[in-house]
Amino acid sequence: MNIEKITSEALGESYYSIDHTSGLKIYVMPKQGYSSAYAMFGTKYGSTDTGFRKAGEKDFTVIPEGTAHFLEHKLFESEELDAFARYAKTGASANAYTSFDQTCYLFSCSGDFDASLEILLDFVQSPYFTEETVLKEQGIIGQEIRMYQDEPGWQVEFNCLRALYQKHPVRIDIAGTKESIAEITAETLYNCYDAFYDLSNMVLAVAGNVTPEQVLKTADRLLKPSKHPAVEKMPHDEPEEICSEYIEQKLAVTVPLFMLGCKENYPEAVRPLRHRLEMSILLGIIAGKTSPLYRRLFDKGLINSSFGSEYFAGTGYSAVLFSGESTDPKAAAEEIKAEIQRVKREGISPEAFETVRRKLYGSEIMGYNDVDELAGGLVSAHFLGSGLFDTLEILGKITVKDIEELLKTEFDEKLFALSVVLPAEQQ
Amino acid sequence: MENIIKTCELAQGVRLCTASTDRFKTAKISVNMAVKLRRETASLNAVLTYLLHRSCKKYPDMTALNARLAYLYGARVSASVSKIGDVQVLRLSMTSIDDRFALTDESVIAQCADLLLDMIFEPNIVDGCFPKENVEQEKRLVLEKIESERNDKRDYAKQRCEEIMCGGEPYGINRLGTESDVAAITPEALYSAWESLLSEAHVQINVIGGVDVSVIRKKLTERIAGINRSEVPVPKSVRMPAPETVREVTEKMPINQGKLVMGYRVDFDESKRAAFKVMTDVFGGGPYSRLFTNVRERLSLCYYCSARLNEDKGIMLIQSGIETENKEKAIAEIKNQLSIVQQGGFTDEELAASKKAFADALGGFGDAPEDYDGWCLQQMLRETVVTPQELARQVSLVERSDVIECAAKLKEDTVYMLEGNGGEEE
Repeated sequence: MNIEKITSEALGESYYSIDHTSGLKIYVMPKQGYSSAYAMFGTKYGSTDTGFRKAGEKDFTVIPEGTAHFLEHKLFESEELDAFARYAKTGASANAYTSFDQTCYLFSCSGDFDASLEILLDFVQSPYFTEETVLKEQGIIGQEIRMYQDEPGWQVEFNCLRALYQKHPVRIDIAGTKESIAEITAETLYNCYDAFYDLSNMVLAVAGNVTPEQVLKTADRLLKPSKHPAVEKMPHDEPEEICSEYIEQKLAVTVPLFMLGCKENYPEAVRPLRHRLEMSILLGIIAGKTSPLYRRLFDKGLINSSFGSEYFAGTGYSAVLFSGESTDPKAAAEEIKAEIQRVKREGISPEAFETVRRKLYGSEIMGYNDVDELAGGLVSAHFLGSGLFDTLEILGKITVKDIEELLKTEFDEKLFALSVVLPAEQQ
Repeated sequence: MENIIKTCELAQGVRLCTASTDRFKTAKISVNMAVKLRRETASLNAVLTYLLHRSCKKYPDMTALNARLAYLYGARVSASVSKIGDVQVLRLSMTSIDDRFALTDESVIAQCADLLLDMIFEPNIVDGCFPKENVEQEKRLVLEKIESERNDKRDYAKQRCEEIMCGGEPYGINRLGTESDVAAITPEALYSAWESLLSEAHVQINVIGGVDVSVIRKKLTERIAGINRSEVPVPKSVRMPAPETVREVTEKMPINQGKLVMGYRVDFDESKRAAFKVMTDVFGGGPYSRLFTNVRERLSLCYYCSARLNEDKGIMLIQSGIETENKEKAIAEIKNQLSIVQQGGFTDEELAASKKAFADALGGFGDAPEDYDGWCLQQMLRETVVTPQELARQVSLVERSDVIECAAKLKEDTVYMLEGNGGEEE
């Protein structure tokens, strides 16, 4: 078993990277003076993984939309006590979530860490699905879907993704639809579990009042060796062009919301960390709080404090998203697009670059307080193939020239889509 | 984990709470000002709070201020307005990286603290008043905030229930006031509100991290010395009884999922605070609670169904997102579960699970600066700040009979339902 200690002198932090004999990658980050520990056990399987093929199979098995999320809910159940009932005995606070490309199971505790970790490793490795339990969950998840249907922020984003992507499953709701989850059976869940919940596709990260020895003690006992199933994810033949330039939905809101997206066609499926950081700097320069654009939008009454921008990326997809509340979404979108063209023409000042870089440096350091952010950061970095401390290191190396080079290939005018949520007429 | 929270009086009606530790990478300072929530001043105070964090005399231009904050390694300044019972709390807070991470030998924390205090004590005033342009801008933003609150249906339904329950009480007033009150604000009225706030508000400053407290104390004392402080009693909340007949209000909106909010009055006893917390948790807190295991898991009626106790105001709200057609079923089950708790029908395991969860959460207290800030803020109107260790001790002593006794102190006040008459079809 290989255990490597990785240190950042600048941050005064270290973590242990462990290649466990079971085939699972484990990260442990002890935090001085902390009294709680936060553990995350995640798999690289999310809502965008809509099909797979095992070695030797000819056809891809297509999975109903929302399956990854449904599986997440059901994994907590067992023939005996469900996971929540077990955690109730240790006092740990537990949860889970499904995103576009990951599903993570987590807990936070200050008392009985060993017992809580045992529960986590045990229930995630012990699938138990029956027709009865699947049927029961359809009601609960049905309500979760209904809840999101009324959330304007959620809707404006998914509509934007539907406008940017013609086929890629990033455009589908993470929880699926009432109809799609009705197709899920216990067999569906077992198939997906076998394909994606193998330790070779997973990672365990723990941060806080914990030692690597402590984690290994329980891991050695509980982890079942990886079977290394050769599973191929179904590829998505997404064209370069967007689906539509404008999409509008009416909801019971008082202030309209907008999300302006620009699709990015990147040569590799995985967008590397360096590129993501350069994009964050670029967005800070164009639309951050110190930018002329922000000031112009603010003074014209086109945005409020809800405005922000994000580089949204996963395997095989990426886009820039500008969003917020606005009394005139179309005008806001025009201002943003015009500013992007202006910056492409006129370039970036070294002062603007340095201001944003300094701000990102500070933000990165601030993230090192919270054990949940650290555990999440270790998981994300692992799935991206990078290290936790790489961000700070790379931020120090990026130059204004890198950003100027980047600008040349970004923001294709034909790839913008505007999603708007407007007030519904009262009935 | 030992307690590191310390308090001291800086001046009449001004308390300093500190939590000194070098385990964080940041320093956090918040200035919290409390005044009785009144219709006449609610909007003025709200607009004022946001206006103050947008600029100051040294940096009258918003973009210049933002550039300064970015230069100070992305220091964050935020403003917020909230309620503690019948009291309006206006807050400005600042987070900065610790000095040890600065790239050159500079005191980042001290510079950020100065900036925060400049915002409050030396705002951008021109010709004896706030500039009209800035005031109009802030009014627009607060108006949008009030409207935006209606976008989140869960929050909106909660607010409607509180408005109906506490119509005649300060707590029933929206923390931001009303749209018409905001629209009527003038720069002169705002300036007056600022002067009143500084002289009359009950103030608590929270300082967390590796900050040199003596330096901050000195800065604060100097600034406060320049203010003529009046003797104003600590603003208090009044807990009211439930009405004779339960209020039932139903409203309709073009939404998919209905939102149910049931409001109860609580005959709260401060000496039994821990028992009330445990009772609320057993009834409608974590995944082991009566509401979660029954309304959600057993009956599949909802994704969330929770009970939240407002101790200062003596109100408990039960909230659930449900299909409109299941309203009666949900209400019946919620009442059924409360009745079970009142009769002691919960198991020893359930009580143990709640106490264990509290013990664990309190045992992990202090692993984030926000833990200290939130904890001290919540108690800013109380004479003494109870430590997490003390609360943990009190929770460990809570028994079955205490939970039953507390549950008996609930009386139904209002049932509010926001019905969905259909949103967008898929």
